[in-house]
Amino acid sequence: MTDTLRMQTGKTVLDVRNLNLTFGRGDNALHALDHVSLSVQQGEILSLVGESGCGKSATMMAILGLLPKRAATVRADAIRLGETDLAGASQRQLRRIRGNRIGMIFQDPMTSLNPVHTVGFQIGEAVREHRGASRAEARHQALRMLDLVRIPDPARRLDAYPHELSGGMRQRVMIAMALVCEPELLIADEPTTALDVTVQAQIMALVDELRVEMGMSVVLITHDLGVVAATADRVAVMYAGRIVEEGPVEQVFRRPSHGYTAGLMRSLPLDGQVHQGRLQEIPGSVPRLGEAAPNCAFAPRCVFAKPRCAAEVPLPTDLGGGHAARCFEHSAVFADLADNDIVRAWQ
Amino acid sequence: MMEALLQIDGVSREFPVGRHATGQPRHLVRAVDGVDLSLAPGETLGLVGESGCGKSTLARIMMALDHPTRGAVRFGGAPWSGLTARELKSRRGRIQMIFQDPVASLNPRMTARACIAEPLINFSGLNRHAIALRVAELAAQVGLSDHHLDRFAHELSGGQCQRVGIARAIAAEPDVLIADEPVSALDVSIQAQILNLLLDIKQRMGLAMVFVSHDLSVVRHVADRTAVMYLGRIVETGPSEQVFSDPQHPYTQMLLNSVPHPLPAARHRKPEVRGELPSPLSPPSGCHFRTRCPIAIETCAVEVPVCGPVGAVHRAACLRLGEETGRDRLNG
Amino acid sequence: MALTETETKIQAHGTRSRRRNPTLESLAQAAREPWTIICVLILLGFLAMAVLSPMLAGDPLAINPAYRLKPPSLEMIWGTDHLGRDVFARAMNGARMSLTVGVAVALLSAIPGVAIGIFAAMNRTGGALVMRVIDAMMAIPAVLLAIALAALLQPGLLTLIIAISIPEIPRMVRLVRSVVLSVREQPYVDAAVSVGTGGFALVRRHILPNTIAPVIVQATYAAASAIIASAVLSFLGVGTPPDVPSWGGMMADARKFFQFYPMLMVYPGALLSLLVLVTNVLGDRLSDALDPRKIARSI
Repeated sequence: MTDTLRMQTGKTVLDVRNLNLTFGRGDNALHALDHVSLSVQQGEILSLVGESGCGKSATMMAILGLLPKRAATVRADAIRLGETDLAGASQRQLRRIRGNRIGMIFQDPMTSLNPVHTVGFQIGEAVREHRGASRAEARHQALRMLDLVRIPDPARRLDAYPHELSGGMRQRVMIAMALVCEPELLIADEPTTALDVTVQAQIMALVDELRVEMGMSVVLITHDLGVVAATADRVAVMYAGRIVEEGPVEQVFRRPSHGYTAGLMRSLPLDGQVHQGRLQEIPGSVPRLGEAAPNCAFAPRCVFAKPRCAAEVPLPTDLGGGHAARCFEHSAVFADLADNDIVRAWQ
Repeated sequence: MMEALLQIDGVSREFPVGRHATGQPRHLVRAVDGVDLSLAPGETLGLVGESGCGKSTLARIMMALDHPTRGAVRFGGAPWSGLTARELKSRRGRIQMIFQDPVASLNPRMTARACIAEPLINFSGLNRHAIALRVAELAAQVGLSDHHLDRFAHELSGGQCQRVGIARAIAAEPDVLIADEPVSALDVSIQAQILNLLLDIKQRMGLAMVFVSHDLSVVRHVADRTAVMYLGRIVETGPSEQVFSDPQHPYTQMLLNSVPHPLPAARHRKPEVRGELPSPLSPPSGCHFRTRCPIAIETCAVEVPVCGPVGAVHRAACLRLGEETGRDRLNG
Repeated sequence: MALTETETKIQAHGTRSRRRNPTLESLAQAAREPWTIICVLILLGFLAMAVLSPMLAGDPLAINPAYRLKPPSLEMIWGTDHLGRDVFARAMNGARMSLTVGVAVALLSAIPGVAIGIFAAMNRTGGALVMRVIDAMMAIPAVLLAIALAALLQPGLLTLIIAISIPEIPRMVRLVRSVVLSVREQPYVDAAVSVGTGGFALVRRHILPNTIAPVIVQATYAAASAIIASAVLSFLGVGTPPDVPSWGGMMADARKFFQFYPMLMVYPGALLSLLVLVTNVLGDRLSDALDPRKIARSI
């Protein structure tokens, strides 16, 4: 079923190689991202999963050139959008790409919309900015977009202000704004975290439908494995500034191979996951930026950790089929999870 | 049935919205609309629903942080709503609350130690030294070590702050613990820790607990009994297992159906969610859910459904209960 | 417990060892900035001027008609005024009045302002009444009030301070009330009420400590504007009596001779401007240092 929905042509839309991000300089420098490599194919949804401060949003900010130059140092072997090099692009070139070739939606649809302009004006703004459209053309485009994101009675909503719309409607407007220039890539940063589960279901279904209709690629940043399972094609799990596991969704759920991924799956309160009334917890706390353990950052919290994990940086191990994990103990992790309900369901 | 510890009878809470020049409210929003609920000793009651359904207002009323505009709350057989501040103060220790935002629920200018000591200063009548010992004891119970105690909220992680909040709530040795979305602001890897801690404490102290959450999987795991709320009303209530495995109200079915489980069956599935949440300023007549309900009939617009029995203790507020609607019952 | 062990392990990776009160930390950081240091030094200079003026300079009141309007000399380094008084001694002594007025007005507006503001925010019906009175007070122009008070009461330093403080109080009340109203909505206040804290203890433990920072900043600005107001009133002749040296009074005296002896105006004027400037700059610094967002970032 998934494969019929996927329309990959093998064309790489976003390619990031060895992205490193440091805040500050000298002794006080904090390493926020460490050798992050990503690639997104055309028509694909890549999900970036992780907890607060793991660097999933910072990765996207670095790619988009949205980090303050003075505070942040970005180094990368390559950041490419199609044929365009983003790493070497000037701020001016980046401005022409953002909102045009890359659309963005954020967690909080209320603060991301300007309260003093109508939604029609805000949706049309990007077309006028990037395509030099006239006011009438922009309005026409905005109407088309509102219809596309399934807002009922779009002609009337065109002149509504953000506060007149519900949370779900606002997020639809955000999506309309992001897609009005028909971008190759949509970056959705926790698009449904602030929304209720019924609204979340509607919004995620909409994103999924639109990527098929428009043939675009999506990077979906989330912390919810359920959302990943429902919508993504590939998943990259991040922990403390590194991608610790990456692969096609089916493979990662079928064979979780990093202690952190495994811990997340085991801690979910699904039926049958519970042992004597207790959930299986991941001990310890999420490390703050710059306070992560060296080498394998997850080692202090990992039940599978061996002395080697604290002594060496684990490099990605290829597990076949585009699935890789930065874990020395990946076999032990998987063996331990073989009877997990989620893993079993995916076999 | 056992004597109820907390008894809620026909409780409504209306909030004025906007004001005319005369000072009269322009609209009344009924955040809680005629709710009946009871909590037995040692029981965990789950309260689920989406934002704006009134579950947090109801929790605040149970905590006597807010007052019902109609109806009454009784606690341990005595009136609990409509008391004066003085009458309340001495009895507050018996119901305690854990808040949604763990960091913001701690005074930014107080150390963790001072936060945990506060209920002891108010209720225990212990001297300084005894309080210090008790704080250390409580901290150990919630898994905080001594060096955490001298820190301020922003120096602790979200999970640690919530541990402080739990220690503060159990310091007065309450009978009832009200947990208002206690894990929704926490990182996924921390949620299980805090849930386990809450369950341990509940077990050890024999507490009754009201667990308010929008996360259905969590409520299913934690609660013995679950009440589902929609636009201020309780639409379904019953033993959690029954509510989750055999939901009777179409709203409960829709809600359960839209939870994304990390299972292959969820992949690219179309959700069966219809329409939008109506404005609480002007909820639909009759059954509030009828505008989004796949099995609504004309009478739904006229008649307000009462919470009728499905099984022995399972009740749902739907006019078409028990009818053959030609629709497969969906479950999560 | 295994959990705390792991946490301790993770904690060991942390770099900070010493943890202090975040507000003090932020203030200490602000105190290390060069501009703050310069301003504090200048302010200390004014304080020294006020305290040590009898020792540093001659008698500010001694009249010597034979030595009128003299240029600077070794003995009287800023020369003499139209009554032959030592301008330097008068300028030094004038710092006393300005600083007294500044500090007194800051305190006299902050203390009642905080009390009334908290009352207005915590008490629904009484609060509404208080706020209408405060609104009425806002309508009184400070200078007119001072002139009226000076006419009614004995003119003098105390009258001056009261006259300047009264119009400052409503501003403080409004500030405190709005801050308390937002503090009251914070979850930690609900939490405190839940654990049985109420009434005075609630205000003292939870409301006041989280309200005080903007009050300190506002009091600094009140001090600066009070110093100017006192100079204006002295200049108009409704402030302190002529025998008390003040910068405003000196400038009023110098007005008649401005064309020929402009320095008589420049000395007190420059001191006044400098004092007001450093007070305002320090207020800004405080305001930055006590900003909760800044405090959160500094740790």
